[in-house]
Amino acid sequence: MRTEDERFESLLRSYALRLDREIAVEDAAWGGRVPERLDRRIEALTLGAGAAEAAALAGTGLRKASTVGKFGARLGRLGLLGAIKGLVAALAAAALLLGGAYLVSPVVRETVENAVSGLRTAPEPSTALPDSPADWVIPSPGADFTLRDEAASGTMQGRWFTSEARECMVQIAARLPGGSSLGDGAEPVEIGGLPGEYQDTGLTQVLLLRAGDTLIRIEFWGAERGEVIEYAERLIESNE
Amino acid sequence: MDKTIRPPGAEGLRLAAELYAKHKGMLLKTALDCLHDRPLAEDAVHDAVLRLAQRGERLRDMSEGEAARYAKLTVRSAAVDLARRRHPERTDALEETPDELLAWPTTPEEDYLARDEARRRLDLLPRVLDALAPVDRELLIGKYILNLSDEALAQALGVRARSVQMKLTRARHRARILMERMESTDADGR
Repeated sequence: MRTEDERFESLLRSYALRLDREIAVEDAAWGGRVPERLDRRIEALTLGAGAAEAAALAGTGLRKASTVGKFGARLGRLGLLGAIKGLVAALAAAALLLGGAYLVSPVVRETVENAVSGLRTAPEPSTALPDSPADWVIPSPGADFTLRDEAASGTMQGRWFTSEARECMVQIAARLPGGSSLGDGAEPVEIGGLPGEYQDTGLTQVLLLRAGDTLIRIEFWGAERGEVIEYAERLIESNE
Repeated sequence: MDKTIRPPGAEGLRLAAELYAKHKGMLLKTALDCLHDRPLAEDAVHDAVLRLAQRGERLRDMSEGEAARYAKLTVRSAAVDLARRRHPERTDALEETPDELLAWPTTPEEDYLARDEARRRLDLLPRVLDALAPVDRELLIGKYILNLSDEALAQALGVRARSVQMKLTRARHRARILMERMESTDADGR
Protein backbone atom coordinates (compact mmCIF):
# COMPACT_ATOMS: atom_id res chain seq x y z
CA MET A 1 0.00 0.00 0.00
CA ARG A 2 1.33 3.40 -0.94
CA THR A 3 2.21 5.97 1.67
CA GLU A 4 0.73 9.47 1.71
CA ASP A 5 4.02 10.79 0.42
CA GLU A 6 4.05 8.38 -2.50
CA ARG A 7 0.48 9.30 -3.36
CA PHE A 8 1.44 12.95 -3.32
CA GLU A 9 4.37 12.26 -5.63
CA SER A 10 1.99 10.51 -7.97
CA LEU A 11 -0.32 13.51 -7.81
CA LEU A 12 2.52 15.82 -8.82
CA ARG A 13 3.36 13.60 -11.79
CA SER A 14 -0.30 13.53 -12.79
CA TYR A 15 -0.29 17.30 -12.75
CA ALA A 16 2.50 17.27 -15.33
CA LEU A 17 0.32 15.13 -17.59
CA ARG A 18 -2.63 17.40 -17.07
CA LEU A 19 -0.50 20.38 -18.00
CA ASP A 20 0.42 18.63 -21.24
CA ARG A 21 -3.23 18.09 -22.01
CA GLU A 22 -4.12 21.68 -21.21
CA ILE A 23 -1.28 22.93 -23.38
CA ALA A 24 -2.36 20.74 -26.30
CA VAL A 25 -5.97 21.88 -26.04
CA GLU A 26 -5.12 25.55 -25.56
CA ASP A 27 -2.55 25.55 -28.35
CA ALA A 28 -5.13 24.05 -30.67
CA ALA A 29 -7.93 26.34 -29.57
CA TRP A 30 -6.01 29.59 -29.29
CA GLY A 31 -3.09 29.06 -31.64
CA GLY A 32 -1.52 32.41 -32.33
CA ARG A 33 -4.64 34.37 -31.58
CA VAL A 34 -3.44 37.16 -29.36
CA PRO A 35 -3.93 40.88 -29.76
CA GLU A 36 -1.46 42.41 -32.15
CA ARG A 37 -0.43 44.83 -29.43
CA LEU A 38 0.84 41.95 -27.30
CA ASP A 39 2.98 40.74 -30.19
CA ARG A 40 4.37 44.24 -30.49
CA ARG A 41 5.09 44.37 -26.78
CA ILE A 42 7.00 41.14 -26.83
CA GLU A 43 8.89 42.25 -29.91
CA ALA A 44 9.74 45.50 -28.17
CA LEU A 45 10.82 43.52 -25.14
CA THR A 46 13.30 41.70 -27.31
CA LEU A 47 14.45 44.93 -28.87
CA GLY A 48 14.52 46.57 -25.46
CA ALA A 49 17.03 44.16 -24.03
CA GLY A 50 19.52 47.00 -23.99
CA ALA A 51 17.19 49.08 -21.88
CA ALA A 52 16.53 46.23 -19.48
CA GLU A 53 20.20 45.50 -19.26
CA ALA A 54 20.99 49.13 -18.62
CA ALA A 55 18.45 49.26 -15.82
CA ALA A 56 19.69 46.04 -14.30
CA LEU A 57 23.31 47.08 -14.48
CA ALA A 58 22.40 50.37 -12.90
CA GLY A 59 21.15 48.45 -9.89
CA THR A 60 17.42 48.45 -10.44
CA GLY A 61 15.36 45.35 -10.09
CA LEU A 62 13.64 43.30 -12.68
CA ARG A 63 10.39 45.14 -12.16
CA LYS A 64 11.85 48.43 -13.14
CA ALA A 65 13.63 46.89 -16.10
CA SER A 66 10.31 45.46 -17.16
CA THR A 67 8.68 48.84 -16.77
CA VAL A 68 11.29 50.37 -18.99
CA GLY A 69 10.68 47.70 -21.58
CA LYS A 70 6.95 48.35 -21.43
CA PHE A 71 7.51 52.05 -21.81
CA GLY A 72 9.50 51.42 -24.94
CA ALA A 73 6.77 49.12 -26.17
CA ARG A 74 4.12 51.76 -25.61
CA LEU A 75 6.08 54.29 -27.56
CA GLY A 76 6.32 51.88 -30.44
CA ARG A 77 2.66 50.95 -30.18
CA LEU A 78 1.51 54.50 -30.41
CA GLY A 79 3.55 55.02 -33.51
CA LEU A 80 5.25 58.01 -31.99
CA LEU A 81 8.67 56.71 -32.79
CA GLY A 82 10.06 54.08 -35.05
CA ALA A 83 11.68 50.96 -33.72
CA ILE A 84 15.11 52.49 -33.46
CA LYS A 85 13.85 55.70 -31.96
CA GLY A 86 11.79 53.61 -29.56
CA LEU A 87 14.86 51.82 -28.38
CA VAL A 88 16.77 55.06 -27.97
CA ALA A 89 13.84 56.58 -26.14
CA ALA A 90 13.53 53.52 -23.91
CA LEU A 91 17.18 53.88 -22.99
CA ALA A 92 16.68 57.54 -22.34
CA ALA A 93 13.55 56.76 -20.35
CA ALA A 94 15.61 54.32 -18.29
CA ALA A 95 18.03 57.08 -17.51
CA LEU A 96 15.17 59.41 -16.62
CA LEU A 97 13.60 56.83 -14.39
CA LEU A 98 16.88 56.28 -12.66
CA GLY A 99 17.31 59.94 -12.00
CA GLY A 100 19.93 60.21 -14.66
CA ALA A 101 18.20 62.88 -16.67
CA TYR A 102 21.28 65.04 -16.62
CA LEU A 103 23.19 62.40 -18.50
CA VAL A 104 20.79 62.52 -21.42
CA SER A 105 21.35 64.96 -24.21
CA PRO A 106 18.76 67.73 -24.55
CA VAL A 107 17.71 66.42 -27.95
CA VAL A 108 17.01 62.93 -26.65
CA ARG A 109 15.32 64.33 -23.58
CA GLU A 110 13.08 66.49 -25.72
CA THR A 111 12.20 63.46 -27.82
CA VAL A 112 11.25 61.50 -24.73
CA GLU A 113 9.31 64.37 -23.22
CA ASN A 114 7.37 64.80 -26.44
CA ALA A 115 6.66 61.12 -26.46
CA VAL A 116 5.45 61.22 -22.86
CA SER A 117 3.30 64.20 -23.68
CA GLY A 118 1.86 62.24 -26.58
CA LEU A 119 1.14 59.36 -24.28
CA ARG A 120 -0.82 61.63 -21.98
CA THR A 121 -2.98 63.02 -24.73
CA ALA A 122 -3.37 59.91 -26.85
CA PRO A 123 -6.62 58.04 -26.43
CA GLU A 124 -6.43 54.84 -24.46
CA PRO A 125 -5.79 51.93 -26.74
CA SER A 126 -8.86 49.83 -27.19
CA THR A 127 -8.94 46.63 -25.22
CA ALA A 128 -10.96 45.01 -27.96
CA LEU A 129 -9.04 42.63 -30.12
CA PRO A 130 -7.94 43.95 -33.48
CA ASP A 131 -9.88 43.13 -36.59
CA SER A 132 -9.33 39.59 -37.63
CA PRO A 133 -7.04 38.57 -40.43
CA ALA A 134 -8.77 37.90 -43.71
CA ASP A 135 -8.83 34.16 -43.17
CA TRP A 136 -10.86 34.47 -39.98
CA VAL A 137 -14.44 34.55 -40.87
CA ILE A 138 -17.61 35.14 -38.96
CA PRO A 139 -18.45 36.36 -35.79
CA SER A 140 -21.10 38.88 -35.40
CA PRO A 141 -24.57 37.65 -36.27
CA GLY A 142 -25.49 38.87 -39.70
CA ALA A 143 -21.94 38.75 -40.97
CA ASP A 144 -21.42 37.09 -44.28
CA PHE A 145 -20.23 33.65 -43.45
CA THR A 146 -20.63 30.23 -44.97
CA LEU A 147 -20.41 27.03 -43.02
CA ARG A 148 -19.56 24.99 -46.08
CA ASP A 149 -16.47 27.03 -46.89
CA GLU A 150 -15.23 26.71 -43.38
CA ALA A 151 -15.68 22.98 -43.32
CA ALA A 152 -13.96 22.61 -46.66
CA SER A 153 -10.78 24.06 -45.24
CA GLY A 154 -10.60 21.11 -42.88
CA THR A 155 -9.06 23.26 -40.23
CA MET A 156 -10.43 24.92 -37.17
CA GLN A 157 -11.54 28.46 -37.60
CA GLY A 158 -12.53 30.88 -34.97
CA ARG A 159 -12.25 34.33 -33.67
CA TRP A 160 -12.65 36.22 -30.46
CA PHE A 161 -15.01 39.09 -30.48
CA THR A 162 -17.12 41.09 -28.17
CA SER A 163 -20.82 40.86 -28.61
CA GLU A 164 -23.11 42.64 -26.23
CA ALA A 165 -20.19 42.94 -23.83
CA ARG A 166 -19.71 39.19 -23.87
CA GLU A 167 -16.62 37.40 -24.92
CA CYS A 168 -17.18 34.57 -27.27
CA MET A 169 -15.23 32.19 -29.41
CA VAL A 170 -16.62 30.41 -32.43
CA GLN A 171 -14.86 27.40 -33.86
CA ILE A 172 -15.94 25.56 -36.96
CA ALA A 173 -14.26 22.47 -38.31
CA ALA A 174 -14.70 18.84 -39.09
CA ARG A 175 -12.71 18.03 -35.95
CA LEU A 176 -12.39 20.08 -32.81
CA PRO A 177 -9.95 19.62 -29.93
CA GLY A 178 -12.67 18.66 -27.50
CA GLY A 179 -14.16 16.06 -29.80
CA SER A 180 -17.66 15.79 -31.14
CA SER A 181 -19.36 15.65 -27.77
CA LEU A 182 -19.35 17.70 -24.60
CA GLY A 183 -19.59 14.52 -22.56
CA ASP A 184 -21.89 13.50 -19.77
CA GLY A 185 -23.95 16.23 -18.23
CA ALA A 186 -24.47 18.13 -21.46
CA GLU A 187 -28.01 19.06 -22.34
CA PRO A 188 -29.26 18.02 -25.78
CA VAL A 189 -30.50 20.98 -27.81
CA GLU A 190 -31.63 21.74 -31.34
CA ILE A 191 -31.01 25.18 -32.75
CA GLY A 192 -31.95 26.31 -36.21
CA GLY A 193 -32.59 22.70 -37.13
CA LEU A 194 -29.10 21.68 -36.06
CA PRO A 195 -28.73 19.10 -33.29
CA GLY A 196 -26.25 19.73 -30.54
CA GLU A 197 -25.43 19.97 -26.86
CA TYR A 198 -25.21 22.75 -24.31
CA GLN A 199 -23.16 22.77 -21.14
CA ASP A 200 -22.58 25.44 -18.49
CA THR A 201 -19.40 24.71 -16.52
CA GLY A 202 -19.81 27.71 -14.26
CA LEU A 203 -16.96 29.50 -15.98
CA THR A 204 -17.89 28.99 -19.60
CA GLN A 205 -21.05 28.22 -21.50
CA VAL A 206 -20.44 25.90 -24.40
CA LEU A 207 -22.73 25.04 -27.27
CA LEU A 208 -21.71 22.33 -29.71
CA LEU A 209 -23.78 22.00 -32.86
CA ARG A 210 -23.48 19.53 -35.72
CA ALA A 211 -24.10 20.62 -39.29
CA GLY A 212 -23.58 17.43 -41.24
CA ASP A 213 -19.91 16.57 -40.90
CA THR A 214 -19.14 19.98 -39.50
CA LEU A 215 -18.92 20.89 -35.85
CA ILE A 216 -19.70 24.36 -34.59
CA ARG A 217 -18.50 25.16 -31.12
CA ILE A 218 -19.61 28.40 -29.52
CA GLU A 219 -18.10 29.25 -26.19
CA PHE A 220 -19.13 32.17 -24.03
CA TRP A 221 -17.66 33.53 -20.84
CA GLY A 222 -20.11 34.70 -18.21
CA ALA A 223 -23.27 34.49 -20.30
CA GLU A 224 -26.72 33.20 -19.51
CA ARG A 225 -28.11 30.14 -21.25
CA GLY A 226 -30.73 32.23 -23.03
CA GLU A 227 -28.12 34.59 -24.43
CA VAL A 228 -26.05 31.75 -25.80
CA ILE A 229 -29.03 30.08 -27.43
CA GLU A 230 -30.24 33.37 -28.86
CA TYR A 231 -26.83 34.17 -30.26
CA ALA A 232 -26.55 30.74 -31.86
CA GLU A 233 -30.01 31.08 -33.39
CA ARG A 234 -29.09 34.41 -34.92
CA LEU A 235 -25.77 33.07 -36.15
CA ILE A 236 -27.37 30.05 -37.82
CA GLU A 237 -30.22 32.12 -39.20
CA SER A 238 -27.87 34.65 -40.71
CA ASN A 239 -25.99 31.93 -42.53
CA GLU A 240 -28.84 29.86 -43.84
CA MET B 1 15.65 29.71 -7.71
CA ASP B 2 17.80 32.37 -9.25
CA LYS B 3 18.93 34.44 -6.36
CA THR B 4 20.34 37.29 -8.40
CA ILE B 5 18.53 39.37 -10.95
CA ARG B 6 20.40 39.33 -14.21
CA PRO B 7 19.64 40.92 -17.51
CA PRO B 8 18.57 38.35 -20.07
CA GLY B 9 21.19 37.25 -22.52
CA ALA B 10 20.72 37.14 -26.26
CA GLU B 11 20.16 33.38 -26.27
CA GLY B 12 17.62 33.63 -23.46
CA LEU B 13 15.71 36.29 -25.35
CA ARG B 14 15.78 34.19 -28.49
CA LEU B 15 14.54 31.06 -26.71
CA ALA B 16 11.84 32.99 -24.86
CA ALA B 17 10.73 34.66 -28.08
CA GLU B 18 10.51 31.25 -29.77
CA LEU B 19 8.44 29.85 -26.91
CA TYR B 20 6.14 32.85 -27.06
CA ALA B 21 5.72 32.53 -30.82
CA LYS B 22 4.86 28.86 -30.51
CA HIS B 23 2.46 29.06 -27.57
CA LYS B 24 1.33 32.67 -27.31
CA GLY B 25 -2.38 31.91 -27.43
CA MET B 26 -2.05 29.32 -24.72
CA LEU B 27 0.07 31.65 -22.59
CA LEU B 28 -2.45 34.48 -22.81
CA LYS B 29 -5.30 32.10 -22.01
CA THR B 30 -3.41 30.89 -18.93
CA ALA B 31 -2.99 34.44 -17.68
CA LEU B 32 -6.62 35.31 -18.46
CA ASP B 33 -7.82 32.31 -16.48
CA CYS B 34 -5.99 33.65 -13.43
CA LEU B 35 -6.68 37.35 -13.79
CA HIS B 36 -9.95 37.70 -15.74
CA ASP B 37 -8.60 41.00 -17.02
CA ARG B 38 -7.17 41.29 -20.51
CA PRO B 39 -4.69 44.18 -20.03
CA LEU B 40 -3.41 42.61 -16.82
CA ALA B 41 -3.13 39.25 -18.53
CA GLU B 42 -1.01 40.82 -21.23
CA ASP B 43 1.19 42.32 -18.51
CA ALA B 44 1.57 38.85 -17.02
CA VAL B 45 2.64 37.38 -20.35
CA HIS B 46 5.10 40.24 -20.81
CA ASP B 47 6.63 39.62 -17.37
CA ALA B 48 6.72 35.89 -17.96
CA VAL B 49 8.59 36.24 -21.23
CA LEU B 50 11.15 38.38 -19.45
CA ARG B 51 11.48 35.76 -16.71
CA LEU B 52 11.86 33.01 -19.28
CA ALA B 53 14.51 35.00 -21.10
CA GLN B 54 16.47 35.34 -17.88
CA ARG B 55 16.51 31.59 -17.51
CA GLY B 56 17.58 30.85 -21.02
CA GLU B 57 20.20 28.35 -19.97
CA ARG B 58 17.50 26.26 -18.34
CA LEU B 59 15.24 26.44 -21.40
CA ARG B 60 18.10 25.29 -23.59
CA ASP B 61 18.29 21.95 -21.84
CA MET B 62 14.55 21.23 -21.86
CA SER B 63 12.54 19.16 -24.27
CA GLU B 64 9.82 20.93 -26.22
CA GLY B 65 7.11 19.62 -23.90
CA GLU B 66 8.99 20.56 -20.76
CA ALA B 67 9.65 24.05 -22.09
CA ALA B 68 5.93 24.48 -22.80
CA ARG B 69 5.06 23.36 -19.25
CA TYR B 70 7.67 25.71 -17.86
CA ALA B 71 6.33 28.60 -19.93
CA LYS B 72 2.76 27.93 -18.80
CA LEU B 73 3.75 27.75 -15.14
CA THR B 74 5.87 30.88 -15.48
CA VAL B 75 2.91 32.80 -16.89
CA ARG B 76 0.70 31.48 -14.13
CA SER B 77 3.26 32.53 -11.53
CA ALA B 78 3.54 36.01 -13.08
CA ALA B 79 -0.25 36.27 -13.13
CA VAL B 80 -0.50 35.26 -9.47
CA ASP B 81 2.12 37.86 -8.58
CA LEU B 82 0.16 40.54 -10.41
CA ALA B 83 -3.08 39.46 -8.77
CA ARG B 84 -1.47 39.65 -5.35
CA ARG B 85 -0.09 43.09 -6.05
CA ARG B 86 -3.52 44.17 -7.13
CA HIS B 87 -5.27 42.67 -4.13
CA PRO B 88 -2.61 42.50 -1.41
CA GLU B 89 -5.28 41.96 1.22
CA ARG B 90 -5.82 38.47 -0.11
CA THR B 91 -3.42 35.84 1.07
CA ASP B 92 -4.40 33.62 -1.80
CA ALA B 93 -5.32 35.76 -4.76
CA LEU B 94 -6.66 32.79 -6.64
CA GLU B 95 -8.88 31.58 -3.85
CA GLU B 96 -11.93 32.85 -5.64
CA THR B 97 -10.90 31.81 -9.10
CA PRO B 98 -13.35 29.32 -10.52
CA ASP B 99 -11.93 25.97 -11.38
CA GLU B 100 -10.78 26.66 -14.88
CA LEU B 101 -10.14 23.01 -15.47
CA LEU B 102 -13.84 22.32 -15.49
CA ALA B 103 -13.94 24.27 -18.70
CA TRP B 104 -12.05 21.58 -20.55
CA PRO B 105 -13.79 19.00 -22.60
CA THR B 106 -13.75 15.71 -20.77
CA THR B 107 -14.04 12.10 -21.75
CA PRO B 108 -16.42 9.71 -19.98
CA GLU B 109 -13.45 8.25 -18.12
CA GLU B 110 -12.44 11.67 -16.92
CA ASP B 111 -15.97 12.44 -15.90
CA TYR B 112 -15.82 9.40 -13.73
CA LEU B 113 -12.54 10.64 -12.27
CA ALA B 114 -14.14 13.99 -11.61
CA ARG B 115 -16.07 12.30 -8.86
CA ASP B 116 -12.95 10.82 -7.48
CA GLU B 117 -10.89 12.38 -4.75
CA ALA B 118 -7.72 12.24 -6.83
CA ARG B 119 -9.29 14.52 -9.39
CA ARG B 120 -10.33 16.98 -6.70
CA ARG B 121 -6.82 17.05 -5.29
CA LEU B 122 -5.41 17.50 -8.75
CA ASP B 123 -7.66 20.49 -9.20
CA LEU B 124 -6.35 21.92 -5.95
CA LEU B 125 -2.68 21.36 -6.70
CA PRO B 126 -2.04 24.56 -8.72
CA ARG B 127 -3.27 26.64 -5.78
CA VAL B 128 -1.10 24.67 -3.38
CA LEU B 129 1.95 25.26 -5.57
CA ASP B 130 1.13 28.95 -5.82
CA ALA B 131 0.91 29.25 -2.05
CA LEU B 132 4.15 27.42 -1.27
CA ALA B 133 7.39 29.16 -0.39
CA PRO B 134 9.27 29.92 -3.62
CA VAL B 135 12.06 27.44 -2.93
CA ASP B 136 9.63 24.59 -2.24
CA ARG B 137 7.59 25.48 -5.32
CA GLU B 138 10.65 25.58 -7.56
CA LEU B 139 11.86 22.29 -6.15
CA LEU B 140 8.59 20.46 -6.76
CA ILE B 141 8.06 21.98 -10.19
CA GLY B 142 11.68 21.31 -11.15
CA LYS B 143 11.52 17.70 -10.05
CA TYR B 144 8.05 16.60 -11.12
CA ILE B 145 6.99 18.95 -13.89
CA LEU B 146 10.28 19.71 -15.59
CA ASN B 147 11.95 16.36 -14.78
CA LEU B 148 15.19 18.02 -13.68
CA SER B 149 17.86 15.75 -12.24
CA ASP B 150 18.95 16.12 -8.63
CA GLU B 151 22.22 17.56 -9.88
CA ALA B 152 20.44 20.19 -11.98
CA LEU B 153 18.16 21.05 -9.06
CA ALA B 154 21.14 21.32 -6.73
CA GLN B 155 22.91 23.60 -9.16
CA ALA B 156 19.85 25.80 -9.58
CA LEU B 157 19.37 26.05 -5.82
CA GLY B 158 23.04 26.39 -4.98
CA VAL B 159 23.02 23.39 -2.64
CA ARG B 160 24.73 20.02 -2.55
CA ALA B 161 23.18 17.32 -4.71
CA ARG B 162 22.85 14.89 -1.82
CA SER B 163 20.72 17.35 0.14
CA VAL B 164 18.16 17.66 -2.68
CA GLN B 165 16.25 14.50 -1.75
CA MET B 166 15.84 15.68 1.84
CA LYS B 167 14.69 19.10 0.69
CA LEU B 168 12.23 17.47 -1.69
CA THR B 169 10.82 15.31 1.08
CA ARG B 170 10.32 18.37 3.25
CA ALA B 171 8.79 20.34 0.39
CA ARG B 172 6.30 17.54 -0.32
CA HIS B 173 5.46 17.35 3.36
CA ARG B 174 4.78 21.08 3.55
CA ALA B 175 2.74 20.95 0.35
CA ARG B 176 0.63 18.09 1.71
CA ILE B 177 -0.08 20.00 4.90
CA LEU B 178 -1.05 23.04 2.87
CA MET B 179 -3.32 20.96 0.68
CA GLU B 180 -5.05 19.45 3.71
CA ARG B 181 -5.62 22.94 5.10
CA MET B 182 -7.06 24.14 1.81
CA GLU B 183 -9.28 21.07 1.56
CA SER B 184 -10.52 21.75 5.04
CA THR B 185 -11.14 25.43 4.29
CA ASP B 186 -12.94 24.58 1.06
CA ALA B 187 -15.07 22.01 2.85
CA ASP B 188 -16.03 24.60 5.47
CA GLY B 189 -17.00 27.01 2.73
CA ARG B 190 -19.30 24.53 1.03
